[in-house]
Amino acid sequence: MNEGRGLERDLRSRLATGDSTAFAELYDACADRIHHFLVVFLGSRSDADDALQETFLRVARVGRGLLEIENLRAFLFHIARNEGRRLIERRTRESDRRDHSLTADDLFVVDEAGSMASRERAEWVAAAFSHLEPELREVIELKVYGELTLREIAEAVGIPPGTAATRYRRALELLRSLLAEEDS
Amino acid sequence: MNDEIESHILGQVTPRGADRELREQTLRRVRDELTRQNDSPATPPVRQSTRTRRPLSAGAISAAVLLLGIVTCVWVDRTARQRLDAAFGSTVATRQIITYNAPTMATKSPTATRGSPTSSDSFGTAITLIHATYRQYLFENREEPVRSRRDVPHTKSSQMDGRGARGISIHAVAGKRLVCVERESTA
Repeated sequence: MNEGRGLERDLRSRLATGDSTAFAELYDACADRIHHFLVVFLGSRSDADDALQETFLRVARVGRGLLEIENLRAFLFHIARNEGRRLIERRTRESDRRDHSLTADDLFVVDEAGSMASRERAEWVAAAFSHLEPELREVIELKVYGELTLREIAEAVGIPPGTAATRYRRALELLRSLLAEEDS
Repeated sequence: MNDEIESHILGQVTPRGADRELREQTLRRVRDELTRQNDSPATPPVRQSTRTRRPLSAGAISAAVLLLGIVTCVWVDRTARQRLDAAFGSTVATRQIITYNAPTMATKSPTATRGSPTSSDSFGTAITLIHATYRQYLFENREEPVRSRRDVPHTKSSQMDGRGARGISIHAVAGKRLVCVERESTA
């Protein structure tokens, strides 16, 4: 979290002037989380790769407008989400009906030498994400793995903070019921 | 229970990030984009106008509406005039006829007495003038005179001379126009 605050304070002016090293720092700080969000959002790692590149290009095109951005992290996720939606629309136009079911390997680092429980847990989360509605899935993804606050989630998704909190609570309840079903 | 899910299940798995090759690819594209932006000519500054567009457009709209109103009024007036001319003739009664109509009507008033200022001489003069005007009107318009009241539809007659063998009746048509009718015989 502090990393994000410092990032916003220090990098914004350098990004606005077109400093390429600043973009490298921004990438190292945020790219993994944005990429994970895009994989969940799009259901495909290759699409997430494309959307991530477009996201950083768009940020580069903003230029001096970055100085007016209050929350750089929320802004980045917002741009990434827009790129994801654009990709989905393109897919729809091209009648691309590929099955984008998420697997544990797509989403998580599964250590083959690790415990069986670790792999099972990763598979359970991937399967549970597939059961959630997209708007609930993106909120829980942004909160847990994107490490955004509910206010930042609201800003990134374009919803009121109260709605973000409600969606997050509802997503956790659904995951709990899925877990209870599995236990029984 | 919700916290348990978040911390013990969701938090226990490590999210997989982007591949290493993607970093170099993305940053190379960003560098190219920044270079392209620096090489491209700066966008010309937007010329600042001293006047704002909003008041200008509001003034233009007001002027256009005013002009449209004037044109519409003229068109409506002209059309109405043409329709009246088609129905009742093209000539509007002259001011002279109207001027002489008022004292003439006064003689027909039941309150008028014998010693009133409107004597038979002045009445005769008025009739003569009206007759002359009517003749001039007929000459200018080259129209046949209306011979009887029945020939003039929708008219209201006001007979001015009820005594003589010859006389002139003025008929008000539609309340605005006057038609002079020469009577050949008295009732």
